[in-house]
Order: sequence, then C-alpha cells, then structure tokens
Amino acid sequence: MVHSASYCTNCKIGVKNYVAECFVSVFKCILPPSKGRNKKKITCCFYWLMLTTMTTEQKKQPPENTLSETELRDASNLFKIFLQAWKNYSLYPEGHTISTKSLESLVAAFANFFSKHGDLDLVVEKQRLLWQNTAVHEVTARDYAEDIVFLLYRDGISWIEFLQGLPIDELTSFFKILKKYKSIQEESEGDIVTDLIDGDFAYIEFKARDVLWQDYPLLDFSELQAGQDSSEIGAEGAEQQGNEEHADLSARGSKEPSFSDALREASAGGASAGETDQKSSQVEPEETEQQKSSEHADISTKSITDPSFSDALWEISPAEHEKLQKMIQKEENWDNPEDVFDVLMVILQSQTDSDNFSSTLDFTLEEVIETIEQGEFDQLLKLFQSLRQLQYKDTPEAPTWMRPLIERFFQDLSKPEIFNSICPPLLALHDNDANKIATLQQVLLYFSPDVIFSIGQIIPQIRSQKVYNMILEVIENLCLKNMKPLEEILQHADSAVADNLLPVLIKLKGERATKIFLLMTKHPSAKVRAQAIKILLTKDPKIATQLFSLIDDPNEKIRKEIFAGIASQKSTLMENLLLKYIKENPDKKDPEHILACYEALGSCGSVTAFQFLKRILLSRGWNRFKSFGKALHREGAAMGLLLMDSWEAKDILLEASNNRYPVIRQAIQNAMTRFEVLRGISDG
Amino acid sequence: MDNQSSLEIITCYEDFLVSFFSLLQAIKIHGDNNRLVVDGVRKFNENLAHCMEEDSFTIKASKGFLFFEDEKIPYTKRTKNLIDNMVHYFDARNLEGLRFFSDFDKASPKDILVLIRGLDSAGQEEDPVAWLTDTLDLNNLAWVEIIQKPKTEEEEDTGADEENELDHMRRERAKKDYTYVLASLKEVAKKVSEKKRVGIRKTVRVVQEIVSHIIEDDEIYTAISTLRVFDDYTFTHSVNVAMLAMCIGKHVNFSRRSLERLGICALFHDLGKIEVPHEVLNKPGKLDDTEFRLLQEHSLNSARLIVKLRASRDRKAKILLPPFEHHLKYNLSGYPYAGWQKPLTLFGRIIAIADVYDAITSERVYRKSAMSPDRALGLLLEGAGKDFDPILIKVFINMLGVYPVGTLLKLDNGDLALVVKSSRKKGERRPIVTLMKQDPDGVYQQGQTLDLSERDRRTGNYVREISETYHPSAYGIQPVQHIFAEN
Repeated sequence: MVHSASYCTNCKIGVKNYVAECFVSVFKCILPPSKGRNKKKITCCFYWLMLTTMTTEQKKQPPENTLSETELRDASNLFKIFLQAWKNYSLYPEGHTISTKSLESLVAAFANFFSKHGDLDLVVEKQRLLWQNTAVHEVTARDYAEDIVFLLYRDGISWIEFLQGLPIDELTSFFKILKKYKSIQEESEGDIVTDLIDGDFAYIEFKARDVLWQDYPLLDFSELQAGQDSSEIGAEGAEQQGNEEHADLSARGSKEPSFSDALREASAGGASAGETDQKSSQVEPEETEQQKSSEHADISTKSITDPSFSDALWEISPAEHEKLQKMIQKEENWDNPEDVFDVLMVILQSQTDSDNFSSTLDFTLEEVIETIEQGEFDQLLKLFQSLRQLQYKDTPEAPTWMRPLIERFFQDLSKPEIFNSICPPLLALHDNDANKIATLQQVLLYFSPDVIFSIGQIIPQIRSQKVYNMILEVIENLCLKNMKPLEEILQHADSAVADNLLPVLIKLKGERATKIFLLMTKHPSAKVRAQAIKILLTKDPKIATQLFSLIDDPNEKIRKEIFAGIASQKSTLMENLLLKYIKENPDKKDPEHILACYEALGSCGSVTAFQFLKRILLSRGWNRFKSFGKALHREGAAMGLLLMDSWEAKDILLEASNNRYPVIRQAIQNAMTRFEVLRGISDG
Repeated sequence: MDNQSSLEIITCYEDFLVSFFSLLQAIKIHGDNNRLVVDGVRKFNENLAHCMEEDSFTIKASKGFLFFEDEKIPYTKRTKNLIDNMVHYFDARNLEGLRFFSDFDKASPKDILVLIRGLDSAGQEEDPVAWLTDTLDLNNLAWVEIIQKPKTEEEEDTGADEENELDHMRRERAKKDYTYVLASLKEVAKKVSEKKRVGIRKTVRVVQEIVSHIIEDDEIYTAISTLRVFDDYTFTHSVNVAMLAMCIGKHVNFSRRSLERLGICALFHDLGKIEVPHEVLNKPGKLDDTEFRLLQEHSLNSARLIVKLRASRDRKAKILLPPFEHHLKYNLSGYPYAGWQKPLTLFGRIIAIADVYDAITSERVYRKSAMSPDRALGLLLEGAGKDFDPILIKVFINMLGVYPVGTLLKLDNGDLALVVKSSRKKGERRPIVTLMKQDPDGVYQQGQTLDLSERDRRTGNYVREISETYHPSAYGIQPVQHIFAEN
C-alpha cells in the first residue's frame, strides 16, 4: 500500500496525501477520542515525520553529480569510445582492423581526456563506474554479464586508474586480459586481478578486494599443537625436559639430532637431510653408543651464537654481493626451455604409469610449440633425439605403451595448426644462418611425412636458396617414409607450390614417383603439366607412350613437348597410336596440329608409317576420306617422309617432286620450305 | 617547459632515485670504505647536484606516490619497484620526505654516510623522526632537513593507538595470508590427489597478496613461518618454506614478479608428497629401502604434478624446475639421481635452504625434538658450499638474525624468554624477547617484553644475558600464538 516517496517524485504528493489519510485513521483508532485527534494536528505530525525521514534518507545518498557539465560530457564521451573499443575487441579476432582502429581511437580519446582532466581514477561498484563520485557508466540488467563493470567487480577490483601517457600496447593487453577472463571456469588458472598484477602495467593502477575467501575462518594459533606431546607437558614435565636437555647438552654437547651425521650420510648416500635424519635417528641399539661417542667430537650442532662463530662468517663481501646480483639478474631473466626439457625427460624416463607419461608428453608438446616459435632449434633437436632414444630403448622393462605414445607425440607435432608455428622462424632464416638451417633440417626429419602438407604451402614464400634446398631435401627424406602426403599436396596445390615440389619428385625413385608425375600431367595448371611432362620425358622418353593423349592438350607448349617426345625415338607403339589418331581425326581444324602429327609419325615411324605416308602423298582421288585428299595431308605426308630420312622415303619424295600432278608437286614444295624453316629453327 | 627538457628532468630524477636507493641498500651490508659504498656516495652526490635547480631539492612520499620537487615521478618499468620501495621506506620511518639544500655540495662523503646510516638506523627507533632530527643536529648536517608527516591534533593524541592499530592490522593481515595460502594449497593437493584437473587461481591470488605485504614488511612473515603444527606438518611446512623463501627473495631485491614465482614454486615444492603413502610419511621407525625410494621420488613427482595443473604453459614452465631441484643439493650430490649436471637455479637454492631450516626446526614423528633455530643456522652454515649456496646462507642468517624470531632463550636468571623480534643490526646479538611464565595449569603465558640490548647505565653491562637456547616446542610453546597475541 505504501508507495515509498523516495522512488516516485511525480506522484509523491498524491501518495503522501493518501498515506497521510491512512496515518490519521490509524492514529484516531489508537488514541482516545479526547486526546490529539485533531486531524490537522495529526497530519502535520505526519508530514513532520516524513520530512525528517526524507531528510535522513537523502543524507544517506551520496551527493549526485559533483562534476561540471564539461567534465561529465568528456567522461561520457570517453566512455562511449571505451565501451565501443571493448565491444570490438571482444567480438573480433586479435589484430583485426576494426578492433585495432577502435583501440587507436580510444588511446587518442584518453590522451585528450588526460590533457584536460589528468589521470582517470574510477571506483568500481556492482553496477556502475564512478568518477569523482559521479556515475559515468551504469549497466542495465540485460547487458550486465557482458559489461566491463561486471567483469571488474566480479574479480574484486574496487578502483582502477588510467594514468596519463597510457600507451596502446598496455590498453591492448588490458583488453586481452578482460577477454581471456570474460567467463571464469571453476578451475581457472587465474583471473583479471592475477593477470593485471603479472602484467605489471605502468599506466594502469588498481586495487582489488578479496572475493575468494570472504568469511573463511582464520586459523586460531592457540589451538594448533606444535609438538607431539606438548599438550601433555605440564609445568614439571617441561622443566624436567628442559633440565634433561640442559644436562644432556652440557654432558654431550647436544641432545638434538646430529644433522651433520645426516649431512655426512647424505653426501655418501645422496639422500637429503630431511629424510636421512629419519633414517639416521633410527640406528640399531648396538650402534647407538658408537654414534653417541662420535657426537662428543661432533661440533656441528653448535649454535650460530657460539663464540667460535665470528660474525664475519656471514658477512657478504663485495665480490659475493656482485656475484649475487648476477645470480639475481640471471634468475629474473630465466627462460630456458632446455632446462625445462631436461626435467621433462627425467620425468618421462622415470614413469611407470601411462597416464602420467601421457600428461607429461602433452606438456612437452606445449613447450615444444613455444620453443619452435622462439626459433630455438638446437634445443628441439636435443629433445627429439632423447625422445627417440627413449622410444626405442631396448630393455625388458620398457613398457609397451611408451612407443605408441611417443609416436603419437610426433604425429601431433606434425599437425598443421602446430607446425604452422614453425613458419615464421623458418622464413626468417637467411643464407648466412648455415648452422641454424642445418639444425632445423635435422629437426624437421623427426616430423611425420604429414608435415609435407604444411611445408609445401610455404615453399613459395622462401627467399633463401639454402633454406629452399634444405626443405626439398627434407621432403625428399620424408617421402621415403611415405609419399602419399606429397602426392596429395601435388594434386591439390596451386601451381606455385606444385612447381616447387616437382623437383623433389625427380630425386625420388620408383613407380610411385612416376605415378605421381603422371598424375601431375593432369594438373589444372599448364605450367605444372608442362614441368611434369618435361621431367617424365627426361627421365624416361619411353613414357611418352603413356602421355600420348596429351597431344590434344589445350596448351601449345605441352603439345609441342609431347610431339617432341614422340619424335625422339623410333617406336612401333607410338607409330600405331599416331596412325590411328590421324585416321580417326582427319578433320582437325588446326593445320599445325595435323602437320605436327605427320612430322612425329615420320620421326618415330617405320615401314608401316612409310607405306601410309606414301599413299597419302601419291594417291589421287582418294576422296572417300575427303580430308585425305586435301593438300594439308599431302604436305604432312611429305614432311613425314622428309623426317623419316630413309632411302625409300627420299626416293618417294624425288618421285613426287617430278609427279605430273601439280597438287603433289606443290605438296613437296611446301614440305621442303617448311622443312628448311624447321631446320633453321632447330639449328638456330 | 618543453617535452625535451621535461624528459631530461624526469630522467635526472630517476637517476637520483636509483643512486639514492642503491646507496641505502649498500650500506646495510658494507662498511664505509667498501668500493660499492664509496662509488654510491659519489653517484648520489652527482645526481643530487644535477637535480638541484634552485636552493633546495625536495623528495616526498604521499599517498603511495613519490614526488620530486612536487612533481610526481611516473611509474615506469625502471622505477616502479623503486618508487614502491622508497615510499615504504619513508612510511616505515614516519617521514614525509627529505629536503636537501644547495650547500650539500660542501658535505663530505662522511657526512653523507652519516645521513644514510642515520636513515637506516632510524627504522629501528621508536620515534624515527625525533631520532633522525637529533642525529642531523648532532652531526651538523645543516644541508638536509627532515620533512615530517603533518599531524593533526587528533593524530598526535592517537599516535600510540595508531601504532597499535597498525600492528594489529599487520598481524591480522599476515594471519589471513597464512590461512588462505594454507587453505589454497590443501585444496590444490586434494584435487590433485583425486586426479582432477585443478586451477591455481586462488593460490596465485593469495601469493600475489603476500608478495605485496612482504615487500612492505617481511619480518612479520618470518615470524609467522615459525608456526608448527605437528599433525599437519606437510602443508604448514610448505607454507613456511614459501614464506621464508619469499622473505629471502625480498632481501635480495627480487622483482615482484619473481617473488610471486618463487612463492608459488616453494608452495608446491613438496606437492609430490601427496603420492607418498601416509604410513611412510609418518612412520616413526626406520624407513626401508623401498620406502626411502618412494620418499625420494617426491621432488620428481612435484614437478610432474605441477605440469598437470591448470595454468598457463609459461607459468608452469617457470615453476617446474625449483621443486625438482630442491633436494639435489648445491654440489649436486642429492636426488633425484638422474645424472643432473646443471647448477641449481637460484630459486632451487633458496628453497633448499628454507626447506631444510623449517624441517630441522620442526618436531617429527621420527624425531623426538626439534632443533632450536640458532643451532639450525649453525648447521646450515656448516653445509654452506656443499649442500647450500654459501652466499644465500649468509643472506639467510642476516635476514633472520642469530636469534631468529621464535627461538626460546633461557636467561641468566633462569627465566624463559621467547624471541619476538630479532636483531638484524650488523654485529648485534641482542633480540627483543617476551618472558614466558607458567600459569597454574602449567601452560606458558606471555609476560613482560624485554630488550636484551639494554645495558645497565652504571656498569655498562647488559642487564640480561642469554645462557641457553631451545626449541619452543620442548616447552609446548607455539611462538606465533604469542607473537600474534593482542597486546
């Protein structure tokens, strides 16, 4: 019924009147009729009460809007840009243009703000950010979980300050942290606060309150027992024990455990003091006396306050101070994957449990990725060598699960998403980096052949000749294990990649390699086809028979290559193929193509070809195959005979040159002219 | 003022800050004739001269920031830690700052050292400002002036209350830190033992808090590391080692980030013990070979379990090595026996010292009594160069003092006294103690506080002498209970 006046200003008056009426009614009921039931008086009392209450309530609320109009406007503008930048950063992948531009705008906006108002310190409340007690950003319930206020408040940040000079890289890192912890898992590695502290920002200050422990009960030291029987030690007992110790000390030097015994045993047996004293304290009874007597002479349990210990013993000399500084510097900058790998190898070598082994390998893989990105190839090589040695360790106790797990490690390493991290350091290598190139080569040989997929893609980007040669060697070696990846990449790669990979195939022997080349002759890229054909024909001219269909290749160069290959040696098979082709394709429109067929026939042909060519040249009215009656075919036949370069062919040509039919004589003349031109080209 | 000259001035201020702070640190360890100190004085002089534009040059600390001539020194990577340290340095001496006058150039190196040593010693005084002022007057150091923190009337009246409140706050803060870090460690260990993937958010967070607090005041953390809980040895031991290690780290001026890393390494150094059966860990008798081998595997297992934590690769890589190393010993004769030939990391060496110290000053099921802290230091000193880094041992001893907090003393009159504040002054062997008196139930209660450096005015002799030392557990005394008790 009661509508609180503090919420609704508009209906305040109406509501108050209503409530006042109720108040009066109630009051009339309570008070006896004769006392203070005057309505006017009661109403005044009511309003007086309300006023007092309102004033008190108003006092609880902080003063609103202590900022000037300009300040508020500047802050609001900054915040609009801030929120937009945050929104873009969280939506787009890292480095995206939109996100980068937003950040740049934000840095500029901050700089502008700083120049007018100095550093920006914000108080973080549950649903708003305050600057100088004024809300500059408030969150709606709908957007709360996504809002930056929620994130900051959730992790306990109570205030945050952006300092003049805030650079873009710090702002970017700040957003990166917010994005990383947009949602927090139950078992999180950290939160916004931990990462901000680790980030060590020079221009972002903040304070965080505890959000993790809250009312966790604190230890009560009085309830914690220090010793085994201390709760039972009474005044007498303690004194007695103290006396015993004192007597013991004066008689034997020390009742306390002989640590130097432990240390001596430790140096002999390599065990630690903490554990060895557990052993040494439990000596056999007959040994106790012997040990006790040695303790008489044992001075190592002396207190450091003993006069025989001079203060100079723990005074740090300038040289030691300097050495210490160097040690500190080294530790501060410590980042040595080799040490990490060495520890991981020790762990792996000692494992008898496959789950533990596997989880350690998983971490090793993470570390390897990081090391690859750093370009520390020599450390990788050492690790891989150790892993292989472990994998193939030939001992009876070597567990059977170890080999497949290590093999899986190398397989995982070869996945594109992991291998791609090797690209930048690889591409950064120059011809001068001979050692690094050599080391990388050895490293790459540990990868599985699947890595060829990834390597192949980057070949066109390699600028260094030495690196290029090294990569080809690596691919060649990997292909010896499995050629399938190369085959697949060649089939699907663009011409730049395929072009670069074909020379690898040259070095590979065997049918598989030839098969791949043959597949390449069908590649969409003419350049690749031409290259493959050239290589094939160079390797084995006889392969031309398998390439015959390419005489119809749309690319002229390829056709020429094929014809050249066909013409390079005598072959009955080729002869028959050509004859068949010519007979079946008399109407080919391209005259050069027809002539080329006849030329090739002449070069590779034998008696069979001779008869055919003779017939085509000399026969008349052979109009059944109208095309054959055409001059082009006669000319082609003449060319074929010229190229046949046999006595029979020459006789026929002589006969034809004197033939009474002009069409035949013309054919010879044309052929002679063409022949001279071709010879001139080949001689030139 | 243009940007260029602005930049030059800031650089000038930074250089002065570096030289000032370096000199303050150097005199803590070295004598006046030491080359580092001599060089330090010269640089201090030169840099102050560069900064002195007018008749005076002021350096002030206010609200966590440092101001040179009322200009705030910006936080940069170079100066961040320095600024924090200087602010705390001034706060610890109740100073707002110092004002140098232009006639400082007439001051001799000896005079400068009087000031610097005075500043250092003032930290031990009850009223540092008054003491410093007297020192400057006594030595006619007119070229420098103390700037006190402005006090209101109320502040003056409540000065003593504030001090108590500050003390209370420090104790409560340390107690919270200890509670939370112990709880977080137990949580991690429990989940690891259940083969769950566990995040270390809470641990990192609390260690970061501890780092901030240790930088301000490490003494309270060396004090709290005397906590011994017989029935919960493994975890409290790890926490104590972490506290001690971070204190050592603070004393050698590690960066905040390195202190954090050191703290986490030390906290998890014995994580591998969760895989050692309880019967072995708590066996009162002698361990057989198998049991001993199981125990020795714990350092390797700590490293392996760290790898499994849910944390970034970078963090895990950086906290992996020291737990693995902590039993290898300085001369590499320890374990794990893996043919390890590399020198231990600095963190590994620090943890080794803290680990052994805490272990031998703790009562164990297989060892009737624990070693008193002063004897423990004696033994550690013996192991310097073989088991422990010799320089770090010195740092450790200087940090704890020859009578570390928590040592139980027998005085010449038979009274028992617990060391509540060690003397860290060079050559000083006189701690502050609290007398321990037995109540009718036989339980030892805290009594009067004494400063054992107090001398009889007439004879010049010390009022009390120390006749013997014990471990407090021998008398059922838990030092932290008394050190952290409300006054």
